[in-house]
Amino acid sequence: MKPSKFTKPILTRLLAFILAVVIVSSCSDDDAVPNLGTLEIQLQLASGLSDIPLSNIPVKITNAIDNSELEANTDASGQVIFENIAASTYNVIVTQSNDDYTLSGTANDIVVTRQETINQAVEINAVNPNAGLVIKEIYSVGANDGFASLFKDQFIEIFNNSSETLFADGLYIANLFGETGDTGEDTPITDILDIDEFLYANLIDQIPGSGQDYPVESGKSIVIALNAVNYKEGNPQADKALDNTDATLERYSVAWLLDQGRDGNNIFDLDNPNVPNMNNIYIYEATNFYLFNTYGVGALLISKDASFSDSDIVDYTRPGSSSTFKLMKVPVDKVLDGVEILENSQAASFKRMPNTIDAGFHFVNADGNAFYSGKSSRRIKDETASARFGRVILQDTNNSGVDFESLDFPDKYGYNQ
Amino acid sequence: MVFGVSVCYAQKITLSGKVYNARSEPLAYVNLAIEELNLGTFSDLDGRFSLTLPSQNLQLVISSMGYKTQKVLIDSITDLTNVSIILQEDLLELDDIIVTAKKTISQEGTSTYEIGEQAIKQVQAMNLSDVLALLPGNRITPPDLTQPGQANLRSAIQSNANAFGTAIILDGTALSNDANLQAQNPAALTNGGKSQVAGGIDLRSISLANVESVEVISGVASPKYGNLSSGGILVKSKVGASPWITTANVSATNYQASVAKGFEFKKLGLLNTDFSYAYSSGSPTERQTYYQNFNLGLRWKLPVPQESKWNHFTTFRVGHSDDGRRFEPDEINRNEADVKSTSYLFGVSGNVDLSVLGALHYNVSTQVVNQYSYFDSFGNDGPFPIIEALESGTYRTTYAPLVYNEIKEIEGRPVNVNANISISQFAKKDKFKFNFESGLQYTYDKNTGRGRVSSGNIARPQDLIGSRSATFQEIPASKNFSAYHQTRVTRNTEHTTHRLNLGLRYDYMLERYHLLSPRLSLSSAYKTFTARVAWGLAYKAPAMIQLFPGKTFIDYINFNYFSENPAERLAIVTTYVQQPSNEQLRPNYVDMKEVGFDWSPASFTLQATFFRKDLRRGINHTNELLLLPKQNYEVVSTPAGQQPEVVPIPGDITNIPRTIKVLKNNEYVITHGVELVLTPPKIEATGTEFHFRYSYLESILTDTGFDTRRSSFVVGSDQVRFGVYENNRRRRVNSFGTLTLIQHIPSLRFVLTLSTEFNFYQTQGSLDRNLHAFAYYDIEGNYIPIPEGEREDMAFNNLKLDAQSLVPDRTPFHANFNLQVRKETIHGHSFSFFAINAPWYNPTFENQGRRRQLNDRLSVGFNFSLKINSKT
Repeated sequence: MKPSKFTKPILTRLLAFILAVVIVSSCSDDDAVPNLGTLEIQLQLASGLSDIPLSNIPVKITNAIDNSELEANTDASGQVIFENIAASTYNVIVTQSNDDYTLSGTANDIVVTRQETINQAVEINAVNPNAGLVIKEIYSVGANDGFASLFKDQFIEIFNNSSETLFADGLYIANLFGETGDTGEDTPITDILDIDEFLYANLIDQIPGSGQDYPVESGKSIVIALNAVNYKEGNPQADKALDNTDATLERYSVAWLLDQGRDGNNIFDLDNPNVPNMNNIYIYEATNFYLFNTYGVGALLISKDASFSDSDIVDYTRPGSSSTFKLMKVPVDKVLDGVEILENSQAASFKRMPNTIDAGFHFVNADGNAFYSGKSSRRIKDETASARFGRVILQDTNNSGVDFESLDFPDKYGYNQ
Repeated sequence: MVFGVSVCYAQKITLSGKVYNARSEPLAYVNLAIEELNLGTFSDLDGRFSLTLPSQNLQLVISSMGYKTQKVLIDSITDLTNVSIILQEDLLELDDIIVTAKKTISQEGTSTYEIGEQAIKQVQAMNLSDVLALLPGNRITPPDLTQPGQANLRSAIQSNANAFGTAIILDGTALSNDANLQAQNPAALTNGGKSQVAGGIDLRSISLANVESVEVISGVASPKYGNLSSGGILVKSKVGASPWITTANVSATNYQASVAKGFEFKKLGLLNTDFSYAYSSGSPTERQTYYQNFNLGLRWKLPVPQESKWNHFTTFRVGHSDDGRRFEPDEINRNEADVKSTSYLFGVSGNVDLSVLGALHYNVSTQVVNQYSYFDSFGNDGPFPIIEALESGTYRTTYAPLVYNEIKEIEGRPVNVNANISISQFAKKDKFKFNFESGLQYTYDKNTGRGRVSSGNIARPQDLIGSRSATFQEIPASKNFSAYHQTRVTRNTEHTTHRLNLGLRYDYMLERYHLLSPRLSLSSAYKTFTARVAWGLAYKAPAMIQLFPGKTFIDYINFNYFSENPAERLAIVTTYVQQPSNEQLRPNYVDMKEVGFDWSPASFTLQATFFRKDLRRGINHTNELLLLPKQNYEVVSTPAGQQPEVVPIPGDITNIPRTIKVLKNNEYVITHGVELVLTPPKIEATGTEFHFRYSYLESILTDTGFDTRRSSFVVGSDQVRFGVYENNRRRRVNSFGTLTLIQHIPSLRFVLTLSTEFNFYQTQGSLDRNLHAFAYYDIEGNYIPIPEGEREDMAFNNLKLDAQSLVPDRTPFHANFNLQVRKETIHGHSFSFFAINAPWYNPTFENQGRRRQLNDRLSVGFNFSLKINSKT
């Protein structure tokens, strides 16, 4: 914790000085007794946490008078004893990180008096290292409702894995271009373009807002739908369809495209006035009607620090073909999260993003057809971390092969408590 | 025109005699014709006939149903008043049968090919489209009745424009497709189900159940044929008494049966009847798409006393065809289509020998076609703003449901009246023979149908011409009046024959255009060598749907408010109605020039023709830019449970650019070609014959219009612009030959043909394609030329076209083997079998990274034909 208030240490130091003068003056006859005390620190898990051993954790104490530091590790019971330390005022700092969590705890202004043993409990908080916004679910293959909704009901859900409220304002979502290795697709994008530094998107949308308009509470999510439309309405198989009017945001590009002189898609793109629209950033001509490819999603969540301009557009031409695609470059270091999803494992699984973002693939239907199956790809819950921290924490090992599971029906807001 | 009359009739001769069959029984209703004179007669019930002729130096053609046609030079007949003619039944036991298309010298035009009954049987033709495979340059393909068949004469680029120019003439009556408006979307002239709109006659509908021969004119047609630009196909029905002839054709997906009989009545004349039925499904494993048709033909020859020299036929034909797509119970969504057409043709025709005035021919026919197309389609493109305005304007509307069924009906009734009258005269002086033929023609085409009706009140927001209701009755009729004259001069000496045809045709088309088409041909034969040259122009009037395609509806959305509560939903849409004015469309025409020779020393024939065919002013589509103002709206208030209150934002108007398709006379196709027919001598010892036909066709298509296209991508706050491009020229070359081995064993009544199709190559691609725009329109509609040197600049990168079309594609050499076997019994029943791609050899080749198959898969079929003779 950072010392954000300056008045408090000064005051406490003054108080400690006066106290010390009083003690020294009143006990001046006890000069033979060393001016030393003992500090026993007991670590305690903050409420809600469990399954975190408190043994062998470094505890550091700082003498507030002379700034001298002492450090020792806790024993099996989570206790550490600093014997014969100078009677003074101490601040305690506990930190430890491992792959699963980061522990932290502090206690300030502990007064150790001469020949006394002071017991001090320090509350230990734990933070999961994958905190932040992650892609929770991607539903893109289309509903299994007799071709009524088609894939007009696509959505992406973004989940807050951290313990505090984060703001989604300014983040981008992108659909990556590139052949998946399905039948007839035999050119990995990596044959032509390098994906170490940049990735290549054919569609980028941005969450609007001025910084605090789209809060995502800890353990909660927001949903960005292609259309915030109730597809149960007028649907003969309403039970197999989605009602997306509860989406946080929707994509709408007809007006944007018409303003550019292009044609919007009036069928796949409707505007629900009650749901705010995403900002359209880049739409390559052929891809203006979906949120994600139905047969192989390469989805990115991009930091608001990224920016896209005309000079970031590159050409892509498959060997043997002369069709040229125009793709927008996305800097790898601005990517917050990325997922590669394929319809099934028949595809040759060409990577479109580096292993640092997603080392694997998730298959919507491992050994079969997934189009119009209603299946959705959801990030799995990290049970250990969730239990440890007492709230839903999603697994994020940067490998969608293990981090994601297929559901028979989308689970919009399913983890929200 | 009549100057020669006094000369010729001085030497009038009479030819009379009797016709018998092989059993010496007299044959009635045998046709005896002098083609050169356009004159003919029929034998009476006792087989007797009599003809009055101006000259002896003529050829008599004797034909009758079921018998082999005989040709006799009258000069060679010793006793002109007592001629005895014995006709042989046309059976496989005869020595000479012709199972290929035979190049002929015909009055009907140059470069004519005749496909006789034996050839029709040998290819097991179900309809007219199958026999065209016998022409040079055409290949045999597996029968598929679910696709419409169109003729494609002398063009490497198969197109509706070329097919539309081919006239189909059934016993002298030209069938018309001019008033066919049966298209869902006239903008593209497609999507009319299987209806061929502004294209050639659907050849599937022409039954061959009672057809004696098919004659194809691929060169310069006689001036009596008009409103064509790409040759003609003459279908000649059989005339004569016959037993019941039943046939059945079966292949993987097609079934066809027919029955025909010629009834001979003592006093009522002769009635030839035929009935055929065909059924086809899309593939052997599904029955979703189907086609069926039936054809009933009645042709009645009036009995007339032998002396009156008048032959009269009354024809009535009913044809019905049905292209459909069924709704199968296990299908989730209903998508049904049914495109029906029933045609009634009534015609009278005949000829009278007016002695001094010559031979008079008349042919008046009326054809009425009842067309009904029904499309019940499942729509899953909802919800979208319903736009159904028929007038320009901005409208408030609401939304279509998520799914719905949309029914579209098109009711058309093209009516065609066709009247021809002509007179032929003959004169002779020294070694010259003159033949004069003059005629008048009138055609009338009108569609009296109700039109397109869209029900369910859902019109999609695409910019389709005429996609909303349209009434056909209001479309004016198309009328053509024509007159023609042809003088044929023939000079015969011992070793030479010279023929000169001088023809001129005048058309008054669409009550606007005065058009002259000269048709000239000359041939000179010296002994076994004949040289030929011909030139002709031919005009084809635009189809009615090209002249009057109906309005274009252009829709766009000004405001979209799809609230969760249906009562609050609102869309504001603008419809812009554009009435295309296509009356400026002119008839297209073809300029055909050809030169060739025939060389036929003893039992060997080589016929070669070189031609150049220029199709000019063909009708095609050009993209034109249209900019329409879009007013933007804003919400003022949102009362609960009601549509929001919106107002136009003053000054907030954006331009909506749209490209619309406009019909123009911009298509020019130049075709150069070589046609070759080679018939080596027959190997007498084994009775084996070979026949080789070859065709080289190179077509170059030029679109003289400009192309306007939207920029391929837009970045950031930029706006779209519209590049203007020169159209590329498309080139296509076909080099195909077919070697047919014909093994005929008369004693076994067996014939086998094995044809090897040599596909030397086929190539297609673009010539001198310029990928860069020479100008562009910005979104305000300003035309901005791009200086020559800057066209390739990065600034115009988004106007650069795809280079895809630059890569020419050329197929490698491959051969195809087709086998046809036919066996006849002594009673005249026959059985035949075909196998297309008999060895089941499917070579492939790779083009632009994709592997393609070069030919069709194995396809087999059977045919039975039974002769049920009621007399025995």
